[in-house]
Amino acid sequence: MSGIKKIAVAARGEIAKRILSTCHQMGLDTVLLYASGDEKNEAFRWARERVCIGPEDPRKSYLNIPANVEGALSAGAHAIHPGYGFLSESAGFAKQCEKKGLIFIGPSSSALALFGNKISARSVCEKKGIPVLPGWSGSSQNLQTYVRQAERIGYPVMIKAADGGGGRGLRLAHNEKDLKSLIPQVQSEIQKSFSNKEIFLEKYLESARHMEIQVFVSADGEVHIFGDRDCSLQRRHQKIIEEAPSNLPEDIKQQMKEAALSLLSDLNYKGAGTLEFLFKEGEFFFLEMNTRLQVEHTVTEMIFGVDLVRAQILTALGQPAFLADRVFTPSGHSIQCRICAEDPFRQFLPGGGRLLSCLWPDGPGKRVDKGFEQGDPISPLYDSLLAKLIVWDISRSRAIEKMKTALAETIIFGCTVNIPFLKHILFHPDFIEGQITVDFIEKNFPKGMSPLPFPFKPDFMGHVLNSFKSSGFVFNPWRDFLRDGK
Amino acid sequence: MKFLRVEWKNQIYSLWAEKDGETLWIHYQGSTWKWIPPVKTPMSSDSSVSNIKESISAPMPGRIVELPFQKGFKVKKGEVLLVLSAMKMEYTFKAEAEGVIEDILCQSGDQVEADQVLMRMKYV
Repeated sequence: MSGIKKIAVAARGEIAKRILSTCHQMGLDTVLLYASGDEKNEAFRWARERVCIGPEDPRKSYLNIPANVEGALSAGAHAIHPGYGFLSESAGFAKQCEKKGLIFIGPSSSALALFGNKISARSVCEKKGIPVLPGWSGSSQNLQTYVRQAERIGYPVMIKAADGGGGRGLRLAHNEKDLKSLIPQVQSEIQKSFSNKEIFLEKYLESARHMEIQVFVSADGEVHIFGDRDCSLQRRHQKIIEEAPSNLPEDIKQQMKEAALSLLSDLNYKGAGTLEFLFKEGEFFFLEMNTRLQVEHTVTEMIFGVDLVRAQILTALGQPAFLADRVFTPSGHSIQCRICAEDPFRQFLPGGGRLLSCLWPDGPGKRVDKGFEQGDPISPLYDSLLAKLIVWDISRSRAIEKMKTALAETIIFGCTVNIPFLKHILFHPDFIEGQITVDFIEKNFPKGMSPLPFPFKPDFMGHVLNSFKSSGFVFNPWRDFLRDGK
Repeated sequence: MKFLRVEWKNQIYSLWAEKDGETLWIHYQGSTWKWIPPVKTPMSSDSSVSNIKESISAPMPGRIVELPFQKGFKVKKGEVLLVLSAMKMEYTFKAEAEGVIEDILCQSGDQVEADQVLMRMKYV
């Protein structure tokens, strides 16, 4: 069964490094499929081999199916791990891999196609009695049809692209006027980005919370549930802080888990997956199913003591035993903060550049999944995620305190990052109470936050600047020890 | 990155610092700041125009995706002068007043660096 000796990693940034690391731990060789210009980062340095798959424009490299397949084959890889983003949920990519004899580490191409289309995912749920939000998914060229359906559903209504994701192909209409102007906008956006041109309407649940159930289907088809996550803290549909477990009532969690079991029981699904739900006033509704590893899989790993990438690889190898051998019981609480190159004092303006120097936190229960280090460029062509800071502790309040310390211990010079904003949220009463809704940032911090007052006067800073010119100023523990008299 | 113990007015301050050209990055009591030394500018003879920026520079590295005008074109207040795209976001520069495009220092499709001067304006 064990036909995999070398794995190609079709990803970049922190997730590529994280996957490489697990492969090496399992005694597998690795090859990184990278775009030219992406030679200075953690994944590039740690991969055993590297194959360039095209230019820095992601459409010609990371999103190019033939280039990735050819790159993996040329290096003699047996399997491809697609990470998240890029081609991770592409049924076309999985199909090409299957055709060329490469193992795609993920579900089958038919499962990817089923859940990749949000309309078909919705209808599977409806058939199985899993609650979905009121919606309409007919196809029509007539704007008036959409208006009539939106009235039936009731405003506000979300206009969604069937193939959308990560906040793209998504618009909120509060009334008929919005709807009429936004539908052509979404249609033209999907003309450019997606092959599937279908759109659908769905009731928008205001001030809801975003919840997830992590599932893992082993090679023998058994569905395992790895708890839930609260990912309500988002800005423009991009998650910022995630945690596990959520604080939902136990009976709701149980119902969500049962929904996950019934959804996957007869679908011949394989590997990791996430069901996303909206929760409000005691009710939950299925939103979508993600057929890949998620950015926030880490918090689940921390509370269950499981390595989900290892589980994915073993499943691709056809080995179910590792899940049956052990009872996975969650313990404690885990929080993840996404450190992004964006300026919270300037309306979250992306701030690429080069990392001048970094210092990362460490100690018990702290984890840093990072893609870049001192001296690495942060390209504006890709996602702004630099690193993920993850903590674990016995309770939520202890985990929050640990995260505050970990953020204070993180030093990133050279690039403006969102750490001040992350800290600000950790002190917010709504966060401490655990009652964050998905519109929290838009409501409370529409333009980011105001800058922290600078602690020093210019003459003091001039003194610091001068000290760089005369090296005699650098900290000397013995001299300072004597002078302080301690 | 250096760990410094700075003696200042009979107090000792502990901080991490790094110098990048004339810019200083410091980490003090758990927070990070970027400090640029204030530029000593001679008193302007006409202070009324000083708050309109006549040179447009990139606030972040990115790609020029729109550049509708050419050098010498007249523009009205609020007209889009250029659009910069970076990390899934677009940043639009508009004319701050009526004026003439004095110089264009980039081309559509160019990859530009942070703080690179992209355009010079002459406002009326």
